Amino acid sequence: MTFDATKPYRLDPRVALRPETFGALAYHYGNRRLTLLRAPELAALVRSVDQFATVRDAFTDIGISSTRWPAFEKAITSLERSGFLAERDDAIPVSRATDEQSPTAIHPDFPSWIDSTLDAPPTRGTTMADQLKTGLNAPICLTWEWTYACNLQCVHCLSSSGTRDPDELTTDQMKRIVDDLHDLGVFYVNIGGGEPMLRPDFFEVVEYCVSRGVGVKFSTNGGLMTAEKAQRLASMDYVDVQISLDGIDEVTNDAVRGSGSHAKARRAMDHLRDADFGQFKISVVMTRDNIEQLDGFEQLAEHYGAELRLTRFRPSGRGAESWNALHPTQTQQRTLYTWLLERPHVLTGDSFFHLSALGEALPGLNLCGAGRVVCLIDPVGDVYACPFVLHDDFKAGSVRDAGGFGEVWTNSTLFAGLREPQSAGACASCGAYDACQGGCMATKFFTGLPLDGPDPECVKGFGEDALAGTAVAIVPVSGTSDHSWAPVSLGRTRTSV
Amino acid sequence: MNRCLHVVRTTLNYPKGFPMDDAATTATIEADERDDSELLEEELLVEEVSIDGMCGVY
Repeated sequence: MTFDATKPYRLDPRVALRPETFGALAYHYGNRRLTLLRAPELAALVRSVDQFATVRDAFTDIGISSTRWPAFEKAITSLERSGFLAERDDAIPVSRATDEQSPTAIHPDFPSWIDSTLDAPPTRGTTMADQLKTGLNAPICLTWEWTYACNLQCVHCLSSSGTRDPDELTTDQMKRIVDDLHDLGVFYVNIGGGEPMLRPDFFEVVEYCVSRGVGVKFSTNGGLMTAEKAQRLASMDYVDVQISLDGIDEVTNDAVRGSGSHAKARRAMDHLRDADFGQFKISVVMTRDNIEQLDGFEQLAEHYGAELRLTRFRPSGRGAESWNALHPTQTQQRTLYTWLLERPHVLTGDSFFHLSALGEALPGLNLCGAGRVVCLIDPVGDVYACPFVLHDDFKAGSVRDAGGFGEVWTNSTLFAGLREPQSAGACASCGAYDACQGGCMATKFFTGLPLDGPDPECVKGFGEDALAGTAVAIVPVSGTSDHSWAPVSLGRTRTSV
Repeated sequence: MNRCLHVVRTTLNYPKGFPMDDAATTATIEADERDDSELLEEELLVEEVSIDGMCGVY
């Protein structure tokens, strides 16, 4: 594959574009890749390349000076390699979604936006991280919890879920949020809970998301997955499924997620496999009790043809109570880091960026995205800076407020503050700060550490030192909505919850 | 003439094994003994980030 600027090119029909101040974000629904187009002219080029006989013609029409052509040709080579652009066979008509409901339809604001930003400052001298830290027009990753109701009572539940909240959003309210997300150009939502499949309107709202061009990735404990539901999910485009499993065996898993939960998760995986769903994800929260099972999780994923996704345990929600018993040791963190370095195909979604202080950076943005590139909508419509800080101190507003989600994302005082340059504080003198960025804000907050101090799991040991000198070990859950339906404790032996 | 070692552009700490394109691999270029006036900045116009698996649910 050799790029030739004298040939015609086309944008892959599965690519969605969203304008940003630096250029645009391009998301490929086929291979799930996200790319920053770091110049308005490149965004204009990618958007309109279908219309030109050659790429050079597009350069000229957009007004890109010839001195910059080598850089643009490199960019197009990269986009071709990633599947975003392809050489066009003019014998085959370009087929792009013209329905504005489609995820890959060109964003309606694109034409006017391009015209107004072609004179934007060039990107020279700024890094991608710099640009992302100042915020985006919409989140890259929006987690949306659909209900506090849950058939399980996991000891580490971020949202302390259990019983439905009477103020949870109605079906119509949820559809209005989907409309807002479509208008903002949100590529997809991560749906969680509680157990989202407990909502009677689960499929209705999932299908509405897809119809409005908002992709869906949802997490389930699998307890409500049937053969019929798996087949229905398999028939839908733009839907990913993630099954939660926190132990390779029943004893390890059920100690955290409750009696019978391992069997339910495995049965859900069987249903998805039998329905030819394709590559679902197996999602694991890494704890002191399961890090030794990493190879087993990898083998299980291979067994199902699934992807393995690992995420960091946080002391949020009920996780505050189980933190001391379950968070990995320093030795285990090093084991995990080495294991991940050798397996770049294992998904971590930027979860372990604090481990990058050990050496090479792990794949991902390697920054705290709270209020910058991520946020959370809870079941009653409150918007928080990230999924791990469901606490009043990090509540930015509500989708029920005037202006809806877009107003909160764009204008909340909390988010504006998070998008300002942050102090490295006590970590400023540490040589690893550029790699770990001081770690996770939520983890610091809920262990009572200052936000400009080290992460409690700092691999240099500074977090442990800081915790030793902190009067409050765990921040009380006041200000957090607790929907547990019974007291929950870690069952190191098999127990019912 | 101020002759020195210039870093033309420093951007990201890409991990080993992370898919890198030509633009990325050339993002950090040490230009040895180049005159300040001849310093050329390369534009890094495309950056791919790994976000699959990024979500806040257990």
